[in-house]
Amino acid sequence: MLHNIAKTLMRIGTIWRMLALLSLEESLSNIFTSLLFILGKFARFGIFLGFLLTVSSTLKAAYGLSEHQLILYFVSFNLFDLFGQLLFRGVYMFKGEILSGTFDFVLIKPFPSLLYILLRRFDVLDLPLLVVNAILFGWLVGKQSLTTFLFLGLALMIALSLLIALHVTIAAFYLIFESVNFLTQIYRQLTTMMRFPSRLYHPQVQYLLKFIVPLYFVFQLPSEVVWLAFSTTFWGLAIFLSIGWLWASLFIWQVGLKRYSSASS
Amino acid sequence: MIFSTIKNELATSTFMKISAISTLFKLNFAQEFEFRLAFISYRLASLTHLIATLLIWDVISREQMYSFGYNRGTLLTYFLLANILGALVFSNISQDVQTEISTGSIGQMLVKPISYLRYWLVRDFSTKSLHLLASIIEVAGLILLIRPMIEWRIDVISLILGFCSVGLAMFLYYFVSLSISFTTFFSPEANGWPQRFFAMVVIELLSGMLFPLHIFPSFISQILLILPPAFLLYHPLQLLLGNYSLQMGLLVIGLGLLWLFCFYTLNQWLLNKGLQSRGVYAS
Repeated sequence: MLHNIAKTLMRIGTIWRMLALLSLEESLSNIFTSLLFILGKFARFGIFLGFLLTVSSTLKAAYGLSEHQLILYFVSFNLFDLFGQLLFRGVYMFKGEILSGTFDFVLIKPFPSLLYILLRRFDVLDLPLLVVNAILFGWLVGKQSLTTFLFLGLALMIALSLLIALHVTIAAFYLIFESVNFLTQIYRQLTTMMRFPSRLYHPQVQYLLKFIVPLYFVFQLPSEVVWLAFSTTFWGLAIFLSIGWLWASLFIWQVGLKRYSSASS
Repeated sequence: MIFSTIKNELATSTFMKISAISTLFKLNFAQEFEFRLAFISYRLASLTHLIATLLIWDVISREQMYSFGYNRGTLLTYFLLANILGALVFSNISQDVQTEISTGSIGQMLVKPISYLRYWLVRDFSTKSLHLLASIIEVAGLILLIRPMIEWRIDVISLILGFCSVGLAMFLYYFVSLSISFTTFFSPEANGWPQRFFAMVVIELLSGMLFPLHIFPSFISQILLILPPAFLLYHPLQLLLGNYSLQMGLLVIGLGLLWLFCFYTLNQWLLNKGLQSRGVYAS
C-alpha cells in the first residue's frame, strides 16, 4: 500500500518536474518579455508599498497599527498570492483550454486531469518577487518561540490547503459553467482587500472574508499568528474549514467532470 | 452639371461612410453581448474591484474627518465617478490588434479598402458605450443600496473642461493601447501580453484609479501628475469634480493634447516601422 502511494507520488513528481522545466524553457526563450513581466510585478509591489507607507501614519493614529505590522500584512498577502500564481498558473489558462477543446486531450492522458490543470504551468516569473517576499516575511517575523513557530507551521498548512481548494473551485466552476469567464479576475479582485488587515473592515465583511470566501485564513492568519494568540476553538474551526473546503472543491470538480461535454470543434 | 454630379457623389460617399460606421458599431455591440454570462462576469469583476476599493478607503477614512484633503463624502464620490470614467476610458476591444499581429491575421485587414485605425476606433467606441451603460447601472445600484453621502461641487465651466478632458483621455488611451499592440511586431511570440501587462500595472496604479495621486509626498505627486496615466483618469476626474481652477483646467488640457500628439506620432512610427522591417506573418 505505502509502496504504491510512494510510486504514484514519484510519478507525479517526475511529470511535474518535466512540466516545470518546459515552463522554464518557455519563459527563458524570450528574455526581454520575461523581464517586462518581472519588472511589472516589482513595480506593482513597490508602488503599493509606497502607498501603504503614505497611509501608515493615518492608520496608526486611527487603529494603533504599527508600520511593521502593516508591512507584514502586505508581505504575507504577496507571499501567498505569488505562491498561488507560481504553482497554479494553469488554472488561469484553463478557460481557454475548455473553449478551444484542448482539455479533451488532457482527459485522455493517463494522469489525473485535475493535477495536470493545477500544476501544468510553473510560473517562474513569479519566483524573484516571491523570494524577496519570503526573505522579508522571515525578517519581519524575526526570532520567535518554538510554540509560535509550530502555530506558524499549522497556519501555513491551513493556508496552503485553502489556496489549493480555492483554485480547484475556480477550475470546477469553469468546467460547469462554460460561458462564465473572468472567475480568476473576480477572485483576484477579492484578494486585493487582503492587502489591508481584515480586522479593520466592517464585521459583515470580516465574516465574508473568513467563512464565505476564506481569504483571511490564506493571506492573514500566518502573519497574525506572530503577535496574536488564538483559542483552541479558533484553530479547530480553521482546520475544519480548510478540510471542508478542500473536500467540497474536489466534490464540485467531480460534478463538473461528470457534466462536462466537449466544446471542441 | 459637373458640379452637381460631384456633389451627388460626395453626398453618396459620406452617407455610405456613416452607414458603414453605424453598421460596424451595431455589429460590435451585438458581438460584445453575444456571450452574456461572460459579459456579466466581467462586469462582476469590475464591481468587485469598486467595492474592494471603497472598503479599503472606508478603513482609511473612517476614524478621521479628513484624509488627505478629502472627507468621506468627497472620497466616495471620487471613487464612484472613477469607476464610471474607468469604464469609459479603459474598456476597449482594440487590444485584439496584438493578437492579429502575432497570428498574422492583420494582413487580411490591411488589404481591405478601410482605414485600419478608424475600424478599431469605431469598435472601441461601441465597446465603451456598452461598458459605460453597465457601469452607470452598477454605480446607481450601489448608491441606492448603501445610500452614500455624495458631495459634488457642480461648476459649469469645470464640467465643460472635464468633458473635453474625458474625450481627450479616450483618444489618448486608444493610441497608448495601439502603441502597445504595435510593439508585437517586434516580439510576436508572446502575443504582446508582457508589454500590455507592464503598461496595465503602471496605468492602474498611476492613473488615480486606486488612490488619488496627490496623497503622495509633494515631489513624487508633482512627477506623477505630469505623466500620461494621470491624464487618463485623475485629471479628468478632478476637472469634473470642480477641484481645478480655470487656468489649471486649460493647462491640463494643453498638456493632454501634447501627450496625445506624442502617442499618435509614436503609434504611426511603430506601425510603419513594424510593417516595413518586420512584415506580417502569413495566416
